[in-house]
Formats: sequence, C-alpha cells, structure tokens
Amino acid sequence: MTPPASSAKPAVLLVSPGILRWSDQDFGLPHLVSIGGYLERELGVRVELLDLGYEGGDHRALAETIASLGPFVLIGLSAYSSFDYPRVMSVARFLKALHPDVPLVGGGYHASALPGDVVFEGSPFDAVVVGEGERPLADIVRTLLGGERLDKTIYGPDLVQELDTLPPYRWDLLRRYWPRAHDIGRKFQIYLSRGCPYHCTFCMERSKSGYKWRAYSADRALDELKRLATFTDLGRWVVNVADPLFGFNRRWRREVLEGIAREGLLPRQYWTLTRSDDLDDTDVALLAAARFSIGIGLESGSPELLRVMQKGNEPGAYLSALLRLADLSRKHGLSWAANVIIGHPGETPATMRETHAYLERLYLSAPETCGWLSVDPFRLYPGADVFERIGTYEARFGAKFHHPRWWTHWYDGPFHAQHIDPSRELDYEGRVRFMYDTYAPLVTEVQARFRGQGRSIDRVFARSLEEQREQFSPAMRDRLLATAKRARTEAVRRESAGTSEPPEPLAHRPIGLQLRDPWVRRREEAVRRLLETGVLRSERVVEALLEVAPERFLPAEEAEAMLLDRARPPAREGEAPWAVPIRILVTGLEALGLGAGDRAADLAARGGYVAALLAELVGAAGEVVAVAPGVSTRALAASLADRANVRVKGRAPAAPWRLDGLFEGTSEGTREGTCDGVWLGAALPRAPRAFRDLLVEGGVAITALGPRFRAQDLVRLTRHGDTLEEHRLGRVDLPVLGGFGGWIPAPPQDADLPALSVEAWRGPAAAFAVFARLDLGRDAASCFDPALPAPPWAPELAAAWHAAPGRLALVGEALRHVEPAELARVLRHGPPAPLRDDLGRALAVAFADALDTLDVPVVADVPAPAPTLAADLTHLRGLLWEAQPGPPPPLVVLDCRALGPRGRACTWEGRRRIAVSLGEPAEHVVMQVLHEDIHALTDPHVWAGRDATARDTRLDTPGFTLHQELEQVALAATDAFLRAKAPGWMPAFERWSARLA
Amino acid sequence: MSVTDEGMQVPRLDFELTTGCDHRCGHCYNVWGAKEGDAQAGYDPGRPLRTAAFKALMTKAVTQSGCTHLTLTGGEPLLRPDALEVIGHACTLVPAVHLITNGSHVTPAVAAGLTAAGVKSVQLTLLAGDATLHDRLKGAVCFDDTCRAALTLSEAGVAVTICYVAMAENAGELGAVMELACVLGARQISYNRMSPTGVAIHNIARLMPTVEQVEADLDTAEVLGPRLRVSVGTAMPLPPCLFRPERYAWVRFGYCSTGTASPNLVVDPAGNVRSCNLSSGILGNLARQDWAEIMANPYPRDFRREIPAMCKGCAYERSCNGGCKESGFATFGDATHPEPFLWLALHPEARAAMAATWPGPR
Repeated sequence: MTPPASSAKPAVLLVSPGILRWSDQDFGLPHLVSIGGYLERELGVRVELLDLGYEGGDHRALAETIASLGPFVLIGLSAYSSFDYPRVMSVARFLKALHPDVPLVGGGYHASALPGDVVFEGSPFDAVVVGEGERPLADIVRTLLGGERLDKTIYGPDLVQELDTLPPYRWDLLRRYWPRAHDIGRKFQIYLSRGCPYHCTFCMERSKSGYKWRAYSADRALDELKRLATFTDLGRWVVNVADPLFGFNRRWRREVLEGIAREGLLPRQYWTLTRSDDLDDTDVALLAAARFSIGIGLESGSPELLRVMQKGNEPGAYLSALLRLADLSRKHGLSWAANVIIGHPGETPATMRETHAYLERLYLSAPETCGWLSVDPFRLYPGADVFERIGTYEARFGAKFHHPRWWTHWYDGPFHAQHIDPSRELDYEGRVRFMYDTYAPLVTEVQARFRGQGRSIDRVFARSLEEQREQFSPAMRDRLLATAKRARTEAVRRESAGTSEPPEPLAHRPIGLQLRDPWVRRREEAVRRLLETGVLRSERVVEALLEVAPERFLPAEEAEAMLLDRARPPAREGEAPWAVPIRILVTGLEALGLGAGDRAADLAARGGYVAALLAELVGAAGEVVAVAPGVSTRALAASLADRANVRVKGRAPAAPWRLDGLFEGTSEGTREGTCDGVWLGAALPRAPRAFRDLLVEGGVAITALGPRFRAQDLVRLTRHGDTLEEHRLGRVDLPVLGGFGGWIPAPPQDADLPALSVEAWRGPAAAFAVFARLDLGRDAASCFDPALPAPPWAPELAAAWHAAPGRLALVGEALRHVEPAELARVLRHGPPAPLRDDLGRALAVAFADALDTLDVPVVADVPAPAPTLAADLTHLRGLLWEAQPGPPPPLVVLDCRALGPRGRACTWEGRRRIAVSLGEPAEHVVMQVLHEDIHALTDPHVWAGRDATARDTRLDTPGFTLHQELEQVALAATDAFLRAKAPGWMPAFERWSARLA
Repeated sequence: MSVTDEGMQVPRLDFELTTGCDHRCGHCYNVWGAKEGDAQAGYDPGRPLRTAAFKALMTKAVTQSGCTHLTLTGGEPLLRPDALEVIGHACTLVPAVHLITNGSHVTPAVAAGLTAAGVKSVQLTLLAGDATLHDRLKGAVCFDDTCRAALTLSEAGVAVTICYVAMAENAGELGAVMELACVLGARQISYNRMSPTGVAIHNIARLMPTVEQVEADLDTAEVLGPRLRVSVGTAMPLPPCLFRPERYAWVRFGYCSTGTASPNLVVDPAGNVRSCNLSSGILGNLARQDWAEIMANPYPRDFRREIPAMCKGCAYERSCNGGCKESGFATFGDATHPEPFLWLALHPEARAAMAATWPGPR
C-alpha cells in the first residue's frame, strides 16, 4: 500500500481491538474518529485508524499494514471493554515487539477504571489515558513531539465540557473500511452526547465520562447526522446513537428529534438507550416519527432493589413511568425494550418474584406489546460502584463475588463476570434456575405478542427476540450450572491447597483477527481456553497453534473434535488416531520444550498436523520427520508439501522406529540418537527401548504408556545415557497403537486389504435411489430420473439441497454406510461437518426422512458383475497407479442401480469407494470406475483425502465451473492414459464418453 | 523313581489337607463348592487318604517332582486331626513349608508345634480393619481369632503373611488391613482381587471389585507399603490391559503360572492332582500314578495355548495369558471367554444382568 500523500507529517495510529462477538459488531468507531479528528486539528498530525475486528488477515498481515501506514510517533490502543483485556494485552505485547521504539498508550473503559492494569512494571504500555481521550492524548502527542519520553504515566481525566468545541466527526478516517462497511456491521455507531448524571451502582460509565451530561448542541447534532449522510446512505443502516443516556435534556431531545424528522435524516431505524421517567405523549410521538426505538434501563421491578441500585429516589414513579410508556408506545407505534438485570447484589428470591410480576404486568396486560424484553445477569464491571465497594456489598447483603478479577481469565469471561452469589438468601445457582425457569415462558410470550412496525426493520426485532428466547434454553441453564459447579470445586481445591487463582497467562500474539473465519475462531477459542487453564504456557506453542490450521491437515470432523478437546477413536483398534484432544496435545508440546533449530519427529503422523506444529516450533533452522503410519506416504507428503523443513518417511507397522540418516548430516545405519524431541500421539504398553536410540542425550519423547482399555499415563521420557527417565504429565485416554512396540498387532494395512471387492450395500443404493427422485436442475450432483414417480417429499428435499451450502458432503456420506438406517441415524445425529449449520442439518434430516419413507428396490443381494470386471479393473488400475509410490489404494465397487450410467466416489479409510450401476454394460462400468479412480489423481481435494468438501455444484456457481474443469482434466487424463498405456480400451472409452456427453 | 527329566520338575507343590472348613466365605474359590449346573460342578475329591498314606503320597510327590517348597492348605488344614503330624512330615521333606489357615485354630500349642516342625510362614486372611465387616465377609465370627493367631505365631517366631481378598464390599479397607498387619507383626501382604471359581461365581455381581477399586488399593499399597515396610504381592493376575504395573514399583505382580515351568500344581486329600487351586480338571492321581504320567497330561499346555480372542497378539499375551482363565471357565463355561474381572471392566452393565440371572443357561 502506498503511504498517504500527507505522510511527511508525524503520524499517530489509533487501534481498536475489535470485539469477539462479531455478530454484534457495529461500524463507526466514533470514539476513535473523534479523537483522531481532534489530534489532526489541534496538532496537525496524520491519524490512521485500525480496527482489528474489521481488518481480517493474520498477525503478519497486520504487521505489514502497520508498516505500510507508518512510521508513527505514537500508537494508541483501546482497552475498551474488560472482556477484551487479555486480548488487548496480547495485542499490546505484539505491537511493542513489532515497534519497540514507538510509545504505546492505552485508553477506554477498562483503562479508565483500572489504569494500573495497563501501566505497570513490565507492561508494554508506556502511558494510559483515563476518561475521554481527546485532550489527554493531545497532551501526550505534544510531549512526544517535544522530544520527551513517556514513563508509565497516567493522563487524565480531562473531559471535554463543550462538545461543540470538538471538530466534526472525521468519518473519512475510516477510509480503509468504507468499501465493505455493510459487511462489517449492520449498525452504525455515533455519539451525540456524553456522560450520565445518574449513579446506577452496576454501571461503569462514570469511570469514563463522569456524571455530567454533555451534548453537542441540537444544531450541531443534526449537522453531524447530515454529515454522516454524505458518507453513507442512512437508509441502509440502523444507526446506534450509543450515548450513555440519550436526550437527558428535554428541550435538546425534542429539538433533535424534530430536526431529524424535519430534515428527513431517517435511517432504517435509530436505536438508543434512555430513561422513561421524562417521556410523555409528545416525546413518544417524536421518537416514533424520527424512527427511534429505545432501550430503557429498567433493571428491576422491585422498589427495594431499585433503591439498592440507586436507580432513583422514587421507585414507584419510576416503575409507573414505564407502564405509561408501554401504553403510549402502542398509541404511537414506538418500539422499545426494557433491560432487566437479575442477580444484582442484594437480590433475593422475593425481589426476583417482584420483578417478574411487574414484567408480566408491563408486557402481558394488553393483547399486544411494542416492547421486548432483554434480561441479563448482573455482571461485575470495573469502575462500577459495586466493583469499588465490594466489601460493603458483601457485608450488607452477604453477597459473594467468586471472581473479583474475572477479566484476567482468557476464557468464559461472561460466566466469570456473573458468577456471584447475590445475597445470603440467594446463591448463583438459585439465581440461574429462577432466571431460566421463570423467564423462558415470559420471553416466549413477549415474542408472541410483539407488534412490529410493518417495515423491514421488524426482521431485526424478530431476530433480537429470537436470540433472547434462545438464551433461555434449558441447555444454556445446565451449562451455566455445570460451569459453576466446576468453579466451586476448583475453589475448594485451591483453598485446601492454600493457592490462589492462577496468574494471568501471557500471549505475545494478537488473538481475534479473523473473527469471521469459523476455523480461526475455533482455534483461538481453544488457545484462550488453554491459556486460561494454564495448560498453554509458552509463547512458541501459542504461536504454533495459532499459525497451523488443523483443518488443512485433518478431516473436518477430526479437526473440530480436536479443537473442542474431544477424542475420536480411529475406525480400527491399533490405528494411529488422526488427532488427540488439544489439551493432551498442548500438554505434550509444552513438555517437549522444543526450540529453534531442534530436530523433532512425529512417529505416527496421520494427516501431518502435529508434524506441522513441530515444524513451527523448531523453525526454519530445525528439522522434522513425519513418520507415516504405513508404507504409503502419498497423502501425508501432499499435506506437508509446503513445509520445507519437514521430511516424510513411510514405515511398515511391524518395523521398528528408525530415524537415522533422515536428518541433515546424519548417516543411515548408525543407530545414534539424532532427535531432540519425539511425539507419538497414541498409547503404548510400555516405554520402547527404541526411543532411547532415537533421542540425543537429554532428548525428550512424549507418548502415552499404560492400559489398553483404560486411561494411560501421558509421559515425558528423557534420555540419560542408556536410560529413559519417566515423568508423568497426567492421565489420558488415547487409542492404543498396533504394530512394533504397540499393544496389538497392526490392523490390516492398505496392502493387506483385498485390492478390489464388489459390494451391494443397501445404504449407498438407497441414498442414490433418493437422489434419482430429486429434480436438482442443472446440478453436477444430480442423477435425476424423470421416469421415476415423484414422491411427496421430493420438492422440499430438493429445496433443502439447494439451500445448504455444504450439500455435497451428503454424497460422500452416502458412500460410507452399509445400511440405510445407519446412514439415516448419522445424518440425524452427527452429520458431516459441512452440514452442521442450520441449513445443512435441515438437509440432512430431510434426507434421512426420505430414506425412511422410500421403499427402495435396492439391488439383488449378490451383485453379478461381469466375469471379467475384476480382472479388467485390476489390470487397468495397476497401469494407472504404477507411477505412484506403493500399490493402488484398495477399491470397493458399490452397486447402486439408481446411478444409471453415472458414478460417484470417495476415499474413506484409505480405500477408494466407487459407486456405479452394475446393470450397465460391462465396458461402461470399467470406464466409469477408471474415470472415478483417475479423479483421485487429478482432483486436489481427493488427492489430499478431503472428498467431503463444501463445493457448490449448482449451475452458474464457481463450484459448478470448478467441477466442470476438474471433470475435463480427468477426462483428458483418462484419454491420455489409455492412449499411452492401454490403447485397446480406446474404443470403449470413446463409446463411454459419447454416451455421457 | 527319581527326578531326571527337567520337564517333570516343579519348584513347588500345594497340598490340600482337607476339603472341610468352618468359615463360609462368599469369595471361596474351592472347586468342590461348585453347585449343580455350574461349569465346575461334580468335582469329587474322593475319600481322603489316611495319615500314613497321605504322608507317603507327600514323600512320593516330593521325590518324583523335585519340588523344594510345599504349601499346605485346604479347606482349613488345621481341621484335619493329624494336621500337625502331616505338617511335621512335610517339613522333613523340603526346606520350605508354608501353611495357609483361617486362623481360628491356631492355639499357642499349635503355634509351638508349627515352630518346632520348622514351618517357614503362615498365611492368615484379613478382609477388613474391623471385626464387623471381616466377619460378615468370612461368614464366621473370626476376626479376633485371626488377630490372636497372628500375634501368637509372631511371638512363636513364625513369619506371618496376611492375605487380603479385594472385593466390592471391602473396597477401601486395604489401608486399614496393612496397618493392622503391621501391628500384628506381619511384613507381607498377599493381595488377591476376587477371582471367582467354586461357589464364588454365584456372588460375582455382589462381590467382584471394580477396576477402580482395585486401582485405589494399588495406590494405597504404593504409599503405605514403603512407609510400613510391608511388602505387597499380587497372587491373582491383574491384567495389564487394565492397569499399568510400572506405576506400582512397590507391588510385585504375579500372573497365571499354569503351563509354565513353575506351575502352581495342587494335590487334593485323595491324591488328585490339578493345575491350580482354582482348576477343577484332574490331571491324574498321584496315589495311583507316577508323577511322570501325570505331567504328561496335555491339559496345562493346551490351557496356556487357548486364550480369549481379544488377547491374541497382545503385548502381554505371554505373561498375562488372559488373566485368570479358570475363573473364565468357572463363570462362563469357557476358558477362552474373557474372565469375569476383565469382562465386567469392559462391560459394567453386565453386572446387573449377572445379579439377576446368574448362573444363566449355558
């Protein structure tokens, strides 16, 4: 990227860390836009804004972006929310390592509440801004431009008293993001006022913008909206006026609302937070006319608890005001929401019941309501009165705060923040049970009675209502209760052991840069969870985990299970598993203690994921050997092809582990230890002596030793001379390995399986019989037979097929199950990964239903292939695969009559499964099978063993085009192969081609 | 005839002096306790040999087998009126004689007699650290007798070994038993997880310990053993597919010896020879046959060769050899069926079925 023309000016970079829940992301960053404009106007500097949530790309891309925009005299990083604190610190450490000479300044809500969390000895931050950022940050830049240094200084608070003195919002500072603004967020955020005069005990606003309500003048506020309308079409946005308290001043409020209506500054909808005390008929009419919907911080229906919360001196009037608003909203069509907090310190079963009774009156006293209900647990926010006077609340109510510094946890911040016993009469579990059991019916009823506006915005309301309803599921309740039980058990354990909560784990790489990529999100969640629990401790391992994408090396189901810390046993006992649960993997990697330049080996490298991690850990100067669990190295070599420092080795299962001669500068046959670290992710009965011969003195092997049918010991074996010293790392339950040194003889390998078998499985036959009844239009996956009667479910199933992005995985799954009932069960309860979104599940269930209802005349029990079929195929496959290492993968031909002249194929457990109709002419069957087999050599997805890709196959989609292109490649390859190796088959090939064309 | 053929030599022999016993243990493995319909039903030890004949039998056995270690057991061996005479005779034949008794008949006079005869050690059974549970499991009021016997024997200079049978109903008692054994002067624990044959197969659902319970015992032994200086050895096999022996450096693990060079052959009161205490298969009768003829019986060799299918090729196939296959035969009628301890470990749900229907039709 070319630096901006004004790059000669000193430059300041303001960075927003983004938020982890990307679905709620707003576009706008008004706080940074305001600060940036102020700095440019006051100091003549150039300001660049980055939002890590908007950026995409990984940490390397971020480093390049910053380099292209700089150099900078200062980087400001917003510690906006306490939920983001560990992530902000990891970003800060990353930025500091990247640009150690550029001062780094923190700000935001968390920084304002706890500046000591930002600047401390050893912190990457050089200064922190408390309160609003414009004036303190300008002071800092002046200091730096004057040649002075920052020294862990706290700046501010220095609030802007007259907002009109601020420069106009410089929305152009978001120039990097405007082209995809609507992809980033569905709401646009802007502030028209700051501060809140109320003293609500749960709110942290006071730590940032104080108790004084300050607003742009009404004219200026309208000007800002007009200016915004020149940047973007307001009509496409929900505009979130994110003021702490919109319209505290009645005259200002009415002037702004009238101006909006008068000037036609109408977005899809305005959304803001305000109070109902001061809203009368005129206000409600104005709000509705200006397309506002409002959130009211009701918080409780209990007068007693409202006093505790300091919501006002007259709770009765306060509660009446909202009832009045509910009536007026029906009259004027104003949509509103009441926010309720359950479990504030002092909450009791009685106050919860009072609140619930009030809410029933508020929402259910009329047949319909314009309001919806937002119920949240009380959360302990730094800067709030409750936080600052925890001792008082504990003494007064008997409240107990289980995690008073919850934001230092890497994972499950929302739980830790709310894990509080509100009072002597009510513990956390009681609060959760009441909240879920009592509010679920109410929320459902509110959803049923909600009256929208008759506009498209109703979809947004409906989504909010549905999200709220989903939050009150029994599964969510049980999850919270289980988490609380674990937390209490852990607290008791710590108390008895005399230890405190574990210290904050460190990470030196930013997490959360690719929030829209579900795989990256899963990976980062796993990393955060492991950081929090202390399993993940070293920076190198963190970086390796963030760097290596498991889904590139493992089948999707395996990668997903691994990241969720779940075990998936291999299909046959004795086989190496694809992966081990990530907690075990990370425990082992930490214990390996590999460093740059080391030599390491994965002795059962199925897929290559661990080998790729090892390659990251040892760096470019190190070397890794990935030992394939079998003589065939093709798939493993393909997975690791782009790793320059990884060598792939095949090994017969009965052969001992040997690594001599595989690393640079070592020679074969010497039997001298060459390896610094060895990983074997499966269980062995006892420590093999062979490990000693693999390792250098002091080298480490990680594996599981112990029982075949029960948990084993994950051990670190360190070579000392002729002995292996064992250190137990924990109990694990890993699949046992077969073969040399293993528990049992090796399971049959590819070479042991019959090279070719012909089967009549009812599962695939029934599945394709269903497909044959589906008119999928011009879809490459179609095998529609219009001559067949159309069952009633066909149109709906075809629609489900078209709607589900991962539809093609259904074809692969159909080839895996012998019986239709088993296929139906898997589709209903554990569909393949590409079908696990809502649409995919809908397709899977609909297909399973069709399987159940279709009485498919499958095939004869014993297929009767042409007598020469096996011989012809064996001969041709031998020729086809002779240039490849190892024998052809075993082939299972599945007789599926519904396919007619077509074929379908997948690779499963090292075997090619090719479905064709054996009712077709013999030469056609041979050509079809050969063609499908050639796909395994020409289609990169099949080559890499990932048939179940979510490729689109519908006409005019990129997937269809790709499919066609791959088909042409396979056809050309078949043609070339037969011409060169088996010209006698060319006439058959031409007849086959002509028939399919 | 004297021993010349190495294949006939055995280092040890067990003699069952009597089938009678005055305790009623639910876990008793004596094969003559099997009920009608059981796989081991119908074992008939025949008429016990009289004193002279039995002594002569012992002499013949030692001479022809070359054994140097005799274990005298029962039933309850001290119920035999000529027990001390027979024991004394045994002590003249071999350097090491070991007695297994229930302890209820060890008076100071008996202890003195054992000392005088030269008995090396006596094994008593303690199933719990308190009398109530111990006596309930033994089916007799005998806890005090056992403790008294241990003290009496220790005072008489006879080494005492404590046998502990691990069952579901005494789970967690090993620690108390080890401490008590230490107080009573015993320095050795023979740890036996229940291995059901005889009448015990009818109590599997109630008494068979879980793997977790046995593992907890091993953990206890590993901690308490060195502290109390009480050694622990397992007599009944603990399959390594369920435990990791390397975790327990203090515990000596034993496995089935049938068909090995060091078998645990047993001679009953009538001279019938079996491959072990738990086996109901008679290899021959030493009163009527020579040792060489009995040792030619292929049963032990075939028994060792036949293992459950799941154990074939296992890393511990040669040492573990399928665990206690005799209990597999007694329980399931098939020595190649996974034995009940292993079976219940892999199929915990089978316990309820066994409680409801056992023994079922075979």
